[in-house]
Amino acid sequence: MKKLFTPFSVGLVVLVALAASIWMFGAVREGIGDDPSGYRVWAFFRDASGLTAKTRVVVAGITVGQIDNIELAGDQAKVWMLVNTPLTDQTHIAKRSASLLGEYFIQLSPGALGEPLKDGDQITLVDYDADTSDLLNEAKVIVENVRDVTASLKRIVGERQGEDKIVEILDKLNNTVSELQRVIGENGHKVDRIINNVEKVSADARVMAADAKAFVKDFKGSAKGIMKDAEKVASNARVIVENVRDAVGDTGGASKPGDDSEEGSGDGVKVASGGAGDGGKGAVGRLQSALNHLDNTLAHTNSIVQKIDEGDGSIGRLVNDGHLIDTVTELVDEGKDYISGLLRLQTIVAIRSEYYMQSKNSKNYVSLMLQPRPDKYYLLQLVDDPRGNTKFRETITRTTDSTEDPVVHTQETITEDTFRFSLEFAKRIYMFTGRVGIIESTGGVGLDVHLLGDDLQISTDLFGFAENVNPHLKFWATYNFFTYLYLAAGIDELLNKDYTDWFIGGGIQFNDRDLKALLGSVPSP
Amino acid sequence: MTLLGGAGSKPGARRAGLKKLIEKLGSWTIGLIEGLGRFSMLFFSTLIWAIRPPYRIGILLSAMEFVGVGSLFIVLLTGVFTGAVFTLQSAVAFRMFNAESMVGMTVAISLARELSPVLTGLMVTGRAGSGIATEIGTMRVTEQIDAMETMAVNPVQYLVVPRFIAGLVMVPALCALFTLVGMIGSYFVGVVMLNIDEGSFLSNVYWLIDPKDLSSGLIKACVFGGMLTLIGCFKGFYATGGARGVGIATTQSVVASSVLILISDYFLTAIMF
Repeated sequence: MKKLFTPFSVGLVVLVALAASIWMFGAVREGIGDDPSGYRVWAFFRDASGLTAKTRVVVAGITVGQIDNIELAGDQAKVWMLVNTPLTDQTHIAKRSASLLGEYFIQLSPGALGEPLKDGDQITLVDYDADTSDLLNEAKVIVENVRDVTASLKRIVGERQGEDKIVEILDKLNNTVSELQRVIGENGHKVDRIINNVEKVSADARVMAADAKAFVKDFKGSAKGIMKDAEKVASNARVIVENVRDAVGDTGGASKPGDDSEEGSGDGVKVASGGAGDGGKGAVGRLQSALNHLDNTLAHTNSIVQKIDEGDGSIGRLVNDGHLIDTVTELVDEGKDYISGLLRLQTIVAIRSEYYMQSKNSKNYVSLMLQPRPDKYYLLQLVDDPRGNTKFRETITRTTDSTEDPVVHTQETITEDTFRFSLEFAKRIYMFTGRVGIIESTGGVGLDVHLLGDDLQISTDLFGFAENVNPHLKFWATYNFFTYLYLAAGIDELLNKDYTDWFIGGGIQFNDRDLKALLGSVPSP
Repeated sequence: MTLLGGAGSKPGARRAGLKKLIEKLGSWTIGLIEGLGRFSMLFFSTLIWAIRPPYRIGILLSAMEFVGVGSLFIVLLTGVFTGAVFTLQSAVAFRMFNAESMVGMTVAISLARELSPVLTGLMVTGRAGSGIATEIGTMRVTEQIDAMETMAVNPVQYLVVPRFIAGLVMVPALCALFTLVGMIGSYFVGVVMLNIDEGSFLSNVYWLIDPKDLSSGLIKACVFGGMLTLIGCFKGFYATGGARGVGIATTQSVVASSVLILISDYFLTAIMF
């Protein structure tokens, strides 16, 4: 047993010690230095005091690396860092103070734009904050100002003269209050009288108002009577006028027959009898002439019919040539197809407005949709976007001035308030409609899904591939709750989080039949 | 009274006293150099005999058990309380600056780099180094070593080599365990008793301790282990004067080992960091 115990106990101790060593080595090797995704970048600092090897490098408070080495490069500190997160050449770097005790760390702010940094690259955008000594200097200035103010106050209040002035002010204030009390006490009855007078005036005004109301009421009754009398008068006058008109009308009707028989009894009789007397001979002549014309016409007609029978001329060929009539039939059929196509072309005009909840702006659309077939249409759209057209321009300025950063990146955002237009071709397959073309002045594609008997439409647009960091993605739904009206709601700029916005809106749309009805009902000038 | 016999002593007596002092000084110097020479010879002899057969595994395991397993309890006990008390004191200091989260890291670095190898070395010296000196010294004064030589058994290979290797292997093992239990003691006092934030306590330990800190401690422990076992063997191997001589050899072994551990720790630290 002893023989077995010795090697076992020794082996156990060695094994346990070995396991402890391996665990401890493993635990402390979890640093950034052994991370295979880690890489080295560097930056110049004017002052690297407080920074040492293994100082933390953080992004948004999360440790992503550590300082690997610090070396002197000219009059600046070249700080090498080992990081394990992707960075771009727009990354800002700053030395931050973790506490007032002088513990520092490196803070990185990775830029969204820019080229990714590789192993050995430089972070050029270095931010400098006020450190503890700067704050202490600021505090020193403030303390000096406070000291000056308190010294002035002390001079005013703290000395004998100042005390006397304050006592004098308080005495005057006391006197003023006493005087005010006295005045109010002496004139109390006057104030009471004034209030009583005001009460009397208001009571009189109330009585006068009641009288005026009664007067108006009486006047209203009288006016009604007057109006009734006036109506009676008007009715009587109408009866009289009717009677007079009847009387005058009866007289005119009785005198007409007498005009035909009695010469010189009226102007109309004279014209009628005179016309009959002058035209007796001329009418026979005109009849003869008309018969002659009819005879000629019949002769021509005979000739034409004869030519048609013989197949002469266009109509004769048309009647007698079978091939020609087939050609004409085909031509007529094609014309009919063309005309029916034109008749099928439907024109839809729509106006839509969307209210963006976060930016509190309205975006408006005027659309003209030409639909030659139910499964195909062309969309022409004018868009008024208050957010305008946004373009990004990046400028890189390099300088050799040692007092400034060697490379300055300037990013400019240009927003122009202009109309946008869309010109899209759409094709429907079952419940899906695909769109392609120009969307809001840039190339893009769209997809609509039609549901609930086409009353509900879910749509998405993807366009503006060169406008922003990410393309412009819009997702919305519309619901036709009435023949001409629909509601819309959705989200815009889904891929650009800074600009993402919800919207609600509505629209109105008419097809060509509605437009004809509407335009037909508009009165002509 | 002066060192040389007093103001009133005769010139002859003064000369005799001076002569005696110089003789003692010379004898001590010669003895020191002679001892250094013997120690070096024993060291090289140990290295040579370590690689030559026969390999006595049983004796080696016995030596490892004596040096390592026998010292395990005392080393673990020392480790736990060293970590605990160091944490207690550090927390008081760091609390003044509201930086208690740095306590764990401070204790861990101290343990890994210095405290574990040094205290493990001192503990093993006190327990095993003295035992080695006593055992071999007794064998020397009872002429067992001479008998061994008579039987053509090399005493260095038989007695020194197993103990030396046991020191080289077991003291680093004990040092690693010392660091581990020291940190457990530190965690218990810091996190459980003093309510230091566990996350910052541990993250600072993991973040700021390097593998180099641990490896340097283990290298030191290895050196200390070889040194203390060799000194124990040396003192016992050259012990003279019966039981009293053995006692002196044991005492000298412990004193020399302890002092040399602390001195060499300084130089090793200076070399490694």
